Amino acid sequence: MNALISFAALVSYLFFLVRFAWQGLQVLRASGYAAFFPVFLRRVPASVYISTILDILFFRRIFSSSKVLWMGSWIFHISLFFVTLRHMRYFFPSLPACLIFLQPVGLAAGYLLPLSLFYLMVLRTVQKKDRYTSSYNYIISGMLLLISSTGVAMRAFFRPDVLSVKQFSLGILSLGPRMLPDSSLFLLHFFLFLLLLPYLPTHIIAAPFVNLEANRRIKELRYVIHER
Amino acid sequence: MKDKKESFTRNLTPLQLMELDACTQCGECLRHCPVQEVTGRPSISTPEKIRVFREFIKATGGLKARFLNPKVIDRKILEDFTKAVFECTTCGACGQKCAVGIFTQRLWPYLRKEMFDRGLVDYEILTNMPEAIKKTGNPYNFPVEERFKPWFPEQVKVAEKSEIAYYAGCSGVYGAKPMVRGDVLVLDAIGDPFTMLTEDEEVCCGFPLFISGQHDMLEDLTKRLVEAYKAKGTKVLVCSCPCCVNIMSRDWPAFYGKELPFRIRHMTQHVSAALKQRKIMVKKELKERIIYHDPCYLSRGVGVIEEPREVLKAIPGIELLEFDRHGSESRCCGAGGAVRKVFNENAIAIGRLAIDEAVAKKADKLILSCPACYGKVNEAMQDHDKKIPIVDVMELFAQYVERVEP
Repeated sequence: MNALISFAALVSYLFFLVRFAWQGLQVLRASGYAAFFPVFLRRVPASVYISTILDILFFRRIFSSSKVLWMGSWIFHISLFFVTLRHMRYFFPSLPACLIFLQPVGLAAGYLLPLSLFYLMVLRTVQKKDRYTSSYNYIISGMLLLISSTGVAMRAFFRPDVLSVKQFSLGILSLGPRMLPDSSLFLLHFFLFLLLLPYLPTHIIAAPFVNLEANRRIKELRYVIHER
Repeated sequence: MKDKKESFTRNLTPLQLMELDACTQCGECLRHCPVQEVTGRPSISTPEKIRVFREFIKATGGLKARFLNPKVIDRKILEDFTKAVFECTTCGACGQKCAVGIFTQRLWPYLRKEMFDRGLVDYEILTNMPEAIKKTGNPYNFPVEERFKPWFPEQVKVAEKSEIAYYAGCSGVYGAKPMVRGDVLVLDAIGDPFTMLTEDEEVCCGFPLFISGQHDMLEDLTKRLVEAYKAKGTKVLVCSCPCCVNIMSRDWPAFYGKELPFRIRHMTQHVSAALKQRKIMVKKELKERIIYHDPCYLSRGVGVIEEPREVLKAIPGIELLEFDRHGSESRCCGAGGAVRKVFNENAIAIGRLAIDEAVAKKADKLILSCPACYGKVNEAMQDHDKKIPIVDVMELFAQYVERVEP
């Protein structure tokens, strides 16, 4: 059983990596490889980078469009980010100081994550008019809600042995399967994560580049036809 | 038809591929789409089109397709997608409000091109276009000899050669004559000599071909026009059609293969500069509330937002009103996308939204600055319960402008 779960985890990690790499390869192939980099390496004013960083950090474009959606989206993404950082403790034999420092933030984010997901799902259901319903989004959100809820349950009510969880995680990475932690909730949490991983949306990688280009385009719009 | 198994990415730039991938399917863009506003059909919305096109890419070039067999995509799905991508007015409002900033105004023509290349487009109005342009120089197949005659003011003299040239554009000369007549009268009032190509030489700028995904003739049309203006000694090419101005400034350099030998200017830019240089002035008052509609390809497309307002405000007494959505966030008038006659019901309904808002704001006149908008919004007012005089910005300005004698 231990070996089987470890094998499933490796397959899931592999699918995740291959899928993201394939997506990158598609873009490179479309550009004839060499032509891709100049597109993004051309001179971009510092203000465009700053705008992009602010857009990514604070979801400014969603904010300008819908405050209600922004609140849920931003809290969800920022929580997911800190929860992911908190989970790094299971993958480092000794935790870097910066990650130790962020552990309490990750803990708070762990509670906010399912709440924000629930809020977003309700929002999508309630505001059906003019709303696009993506079954993919529902499935991903639903799985994340389950994963985060089981995470909260493990933290608040049914705590597994954290050391055995860490040993199990490190075992998978070092290709040396270790004993499964004695927690069915952990097993469910981990199994759902393995199911989700290969289906994670690749827009995580593409969106920042597209956003950078959008900010450059907005800045340059004035000079399409006007003199500088 | 080209090989059905050919990749769906062949017409896309790397950036456009990333844009397709970057769509988070949040659905926010639906609230800004004029087609959604009048149809309420998310099945033809931006995120759905992007999702379906991603499926096409996966089916022919995805991991499974590479290592197993490429999927044969059901023809019905391809046809439905084609219809959806052509039902769009390509106004680009979805991209303007996109959470990640996808440049949809530019993406749609390339998705359309893909469907054209696969032989899935059978709208005669589009498929007949290249032949019509070859024969008559315009996409509507109107007679060449009627290009300038019915509207060109007799008293206006056109120079044989000049640094300033005026391109009237097919939609204006055949469908919005008061607009191009106004342009020429204002150019005459400015007093600088200007030249024009002859009715045989002034052919389509290529925009309707570009927007509908038929790109084969574009290089030829561009080179023909650019060389003709170059031969006339042109340094500034003035045009009032937003679509022409858009393709001239954004795409002509690429089709021409190098930088253009002249600058492109929208008519309102030219007039605004003439006002600042005190070449023209307006004394006569117009005590009216007017509302100006920003054409998508002028405001979102090339960033000409202030100049039309400057020109209108130069008329004393005018009170300039704004639509709720204006400037770079303006709402399409319904005429965009090159297939307004096919999806006429949508176009009329969208046009009426502009009329209704203008009437609700108690405007005396609705001011447009695009020949496509001019034709469609006028058509939308027929049999509509709300009425408002529709005037082109130069049609109005020509009635008030006076030359400042040096």
